[in-house]
Amino acid sequence: MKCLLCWRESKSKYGLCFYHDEAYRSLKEGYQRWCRAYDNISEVKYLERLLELPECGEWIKEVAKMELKRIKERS
Amino acid sequence: MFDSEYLLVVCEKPDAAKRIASALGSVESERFDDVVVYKVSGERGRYVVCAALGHLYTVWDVAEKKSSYPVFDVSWYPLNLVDKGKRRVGNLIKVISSLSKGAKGFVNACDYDIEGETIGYNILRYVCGGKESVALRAKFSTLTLEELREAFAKMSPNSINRLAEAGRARHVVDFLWGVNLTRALTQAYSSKGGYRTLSVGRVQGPTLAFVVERECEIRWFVPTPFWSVSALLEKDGFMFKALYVVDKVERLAEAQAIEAGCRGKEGVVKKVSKQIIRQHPPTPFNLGDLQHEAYRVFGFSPSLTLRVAESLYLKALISYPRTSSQKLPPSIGYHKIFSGLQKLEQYRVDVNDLLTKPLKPFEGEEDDPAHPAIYPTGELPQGLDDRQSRLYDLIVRRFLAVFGEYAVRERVSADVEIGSYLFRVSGRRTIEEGWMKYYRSYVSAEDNPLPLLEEGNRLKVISLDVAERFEQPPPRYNQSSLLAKMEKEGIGTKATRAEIIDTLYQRGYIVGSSIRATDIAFSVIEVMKEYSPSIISTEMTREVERALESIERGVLSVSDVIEKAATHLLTSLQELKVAEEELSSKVREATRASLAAADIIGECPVCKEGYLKIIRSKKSGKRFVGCTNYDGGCRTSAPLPQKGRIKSLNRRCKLCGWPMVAVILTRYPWRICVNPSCPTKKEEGKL
Repeated sequence: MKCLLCWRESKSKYGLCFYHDEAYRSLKEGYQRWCRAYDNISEVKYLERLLELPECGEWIKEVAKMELKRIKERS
Repeated sequence: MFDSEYLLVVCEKPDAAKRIASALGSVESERFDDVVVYKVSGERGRYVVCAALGHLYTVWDVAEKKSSYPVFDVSWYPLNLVDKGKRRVGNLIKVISSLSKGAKGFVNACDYDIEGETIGYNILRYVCGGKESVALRAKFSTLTLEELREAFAKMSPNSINRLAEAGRARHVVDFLWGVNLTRALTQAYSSKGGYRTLSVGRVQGPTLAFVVERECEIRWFVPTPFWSVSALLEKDGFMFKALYVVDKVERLAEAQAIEAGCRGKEGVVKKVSKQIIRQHPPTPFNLGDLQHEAYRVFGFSPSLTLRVAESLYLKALISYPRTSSQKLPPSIGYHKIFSGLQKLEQYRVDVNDLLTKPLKPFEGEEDDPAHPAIYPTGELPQGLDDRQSRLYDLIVRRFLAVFGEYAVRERVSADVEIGSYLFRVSGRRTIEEGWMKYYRSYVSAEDNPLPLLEEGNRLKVISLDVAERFEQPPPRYNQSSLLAKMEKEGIGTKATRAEIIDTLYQRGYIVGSSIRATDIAFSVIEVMKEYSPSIISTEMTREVERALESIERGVLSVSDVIEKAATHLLTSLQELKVAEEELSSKVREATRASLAAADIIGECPVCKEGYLKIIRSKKSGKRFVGCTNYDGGCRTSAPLPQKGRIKSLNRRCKLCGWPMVAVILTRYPWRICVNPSCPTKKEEGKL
């Protein structure tokens, strides 16, 4: 199965390749740090802010975009 | 040629041969088969001076079938037999061989380092018929006439040549690694049809692994916010900034509480400390230091710096640049060099200033048994191009700075309490410029003085600021920092590191001046990591490097080292064979993805979810731009010019926000916005 975000093989339960899977894990960890820093921040706001930041890694932005789309679809 | 006996002098390059000949006596040049040789009659006898063009021999595979592996049976071959483009080498070998027949003796006057020694050794052995152990060695660090004459007066035989043995062993080991791994990778790729050369060398692999590892860190980076709190203070009309003592406040609420606690308060100076800092002069340049500094101040790549430095050496303006030494022994003749530099107006004042005190250089730890650090010879430069002039000036200024005094600076730091929070102000000023005045063009010692502060002083708080900041990802490597990483990890040699970086660019593994790893690099490193981690292991490369160095010291024999390296290699090749299929599909996918990525011209300005991509219509064969989010409902598309190559400009149109592309049809590309309704097009229409 192909990764949901690129051409690589996916081996994870999220349908992501190794690189995007790692990025997804970092994205989730990052959210904990942001919640602590801002005394709570919504996940959507967190993802939107990340997408605007030039410091944010490419793979993180790709999974953030996917996650944002998923959240918006759910609501 | 001479009727009577002569010494045949073998040099590494034509420019060096010319200078060496002119140092030895009266010169007459002759041309044989398009090869220039110099007949010299000097006080010490007669010489014929000839030049190689770097290496004339190379290690090559003995087997006839050039695509099979493993390859362990190798030999040295004339370069022209291996590379058809090197026909001149064949002429050179013929001429030197014929000159060797009338020679009464031989002199190796190639550069005195591992490569020079190998070049000279191979010529004396293969072209001159086994003269490598009876030939004399002329050792010099500059091409000034004086030093060359001295070197020829002190020549000695070089019967046990460990430097050449080590050099030859390095060539064999690197060839075995390069040829076997490249063939293994290329065959793995081609096993499903198609062809692509994939190379990995002994030092290339770990170097590429550094870049890929850094690329991962950057792409996985989640910036974490923090806040910095600062206060603008005033004393006697002088305003200055104080920073809250905790550089990074991790929570917004805490930063806001600090600001609130300071609002309306004045600052009270609690403690003032002064520190005098003595800053030592820089160390003399070795090749690595020169490459880093030239990159920092001019943006020269390491390989360009080496090329320009070599051209300055061949003009006898600087000493031999491929050195590790950071030392300048008195034997180089400080006063003679200073007198030479004194003749140049731009250095006269500084030289005169330095000559008022005893000359003692500030030296670094690193040493090189063959050459001192890089220094200017004091010869007058003529006809230098822009790059040569800049590098020459950098070398001269560094040389002068090395003889300068310590610079003395004062650092003042004061703790200021605002409310119950502690802030810190700091300032610096230069007391004595010392060596910095000779190196002023390349060093900045910015002063930020503070007003006179004493304990108990009350300061007005003009404003408070809470700034939101984010942690930064590690920086991408540039050519200089990648070279520094290779040096730090002890892989490659001073002479080869820059070339290895160039090779990674040529192979398409890395791109850009701020270096990015390509998808193919990821795939290659991924497979290596999984199936044959030793190929990209720094430890293994370093181990081979140490073994090669121990040949120079006489600790290990050439055969021991080659055998050891070959054993490592064989294991890696067996591991790779297992991964052949996976490697093939990964690299194929990576290649396809790279090509597909090249067709993406930017984000879709309409749906903002997909990307605009160059697509060719199956029906008409015409190309156009369409959104990759077609399945998601976005129908954005636009026509494209049908002639010329189209390249993304990676920027948006200032008027409509659609991506811009370059249409390359002639020498001058045509830049357009792809939006058919862009106002820029209406403007054009009116015209």
